[in-house]
Amino acid sequence: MREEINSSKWHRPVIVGCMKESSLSNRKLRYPTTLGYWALPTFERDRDREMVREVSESCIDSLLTEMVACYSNRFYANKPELAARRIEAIGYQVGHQLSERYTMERPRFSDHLEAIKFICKDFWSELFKKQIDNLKTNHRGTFVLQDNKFRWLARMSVDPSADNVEDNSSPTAENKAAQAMSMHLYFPCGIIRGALSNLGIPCTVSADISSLPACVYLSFLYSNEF
Amino acid sequence: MIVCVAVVGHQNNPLYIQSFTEADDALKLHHIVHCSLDVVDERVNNPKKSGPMLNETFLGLLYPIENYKVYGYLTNTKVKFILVSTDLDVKDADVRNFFRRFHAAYVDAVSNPFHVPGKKITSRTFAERVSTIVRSFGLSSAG
Repeated sequence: MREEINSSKWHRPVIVGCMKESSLSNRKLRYPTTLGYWALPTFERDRDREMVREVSESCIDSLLTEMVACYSNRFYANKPELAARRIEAIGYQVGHQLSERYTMERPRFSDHLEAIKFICKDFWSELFKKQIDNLKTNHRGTFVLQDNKFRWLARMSVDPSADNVEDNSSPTAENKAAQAMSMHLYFPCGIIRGALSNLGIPCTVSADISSLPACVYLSFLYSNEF
Repeated sequence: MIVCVAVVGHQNNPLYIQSFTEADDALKLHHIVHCSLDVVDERVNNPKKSGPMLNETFLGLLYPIENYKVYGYLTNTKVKFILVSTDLDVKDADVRNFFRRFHAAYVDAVSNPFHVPGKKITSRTFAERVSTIVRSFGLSSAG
């Protein structure tokens, strides 16, 4: 499931960004933002200039897996609910800050749909290098965002040396994989929720992974307008 | 010359306010900034009046008062930036440029993982950066 990088010393997963930018892989993700911010000491950032910093995509993948592993196996090993909520809260803060930056040079959104469209197009391509594949709404405050190849799950696989070799019943294994997978989705859910609420749309976001690697995000808005 | 700049959160809570005058008129400037919030609300709720500037982040001259001119800027996240200036003939492009840099400084400040969203910005780096931007205001057009 997850790669064990020498993680024993990382108490706060957010500090992973200390590693030199884009040194690990040649697949680069343009990441001029919060995560990139953590990656660099203040004096190194370009002042008053468009910040284009790159963070290796595999760094982000490792960060995500490590964060999930940390919270669900170490800090809150017995309380998966609590771990999920903590991971979601981290995502919320990241999304909050990212939305501040990515909406910097654009006109104000006139309504909620425009903000959602921004999330689907620009925000998504900044984070995942692609746009959302399908957006549905019931015009009553529920939006369904579908990504047919969710990037953060694309390179994920179930650990073949699983601890329960004797128990080969596939439904259980599948169930376990799905459960582990869904832990990794709280972070992106939090990001989306943070971004939306910073844009003035309080909501809840949940993810559905019944057809991997496709990923479906549901967001319910709480608003009087709908 | 810029005499006062302010960042106001989406619930009209002050996030950062700083005056740049020698005299002891901080209270008056704060009052001016406070009054300008109503003008910002009015601009946003009646967009017809602003005509071609529909949905632009830069709100332009909010109102002139005494010897001051007050400019406003509203981000997508409903954070307001207010600028109080004593210059009478300010170029629009200068003000836009100022707000763009000010906004960039703000975004960097709130991206700090130790900053609590919705609380006052206490970062010394941010304060220094803002005063640099304020000092360089209008210099670009002179050259």
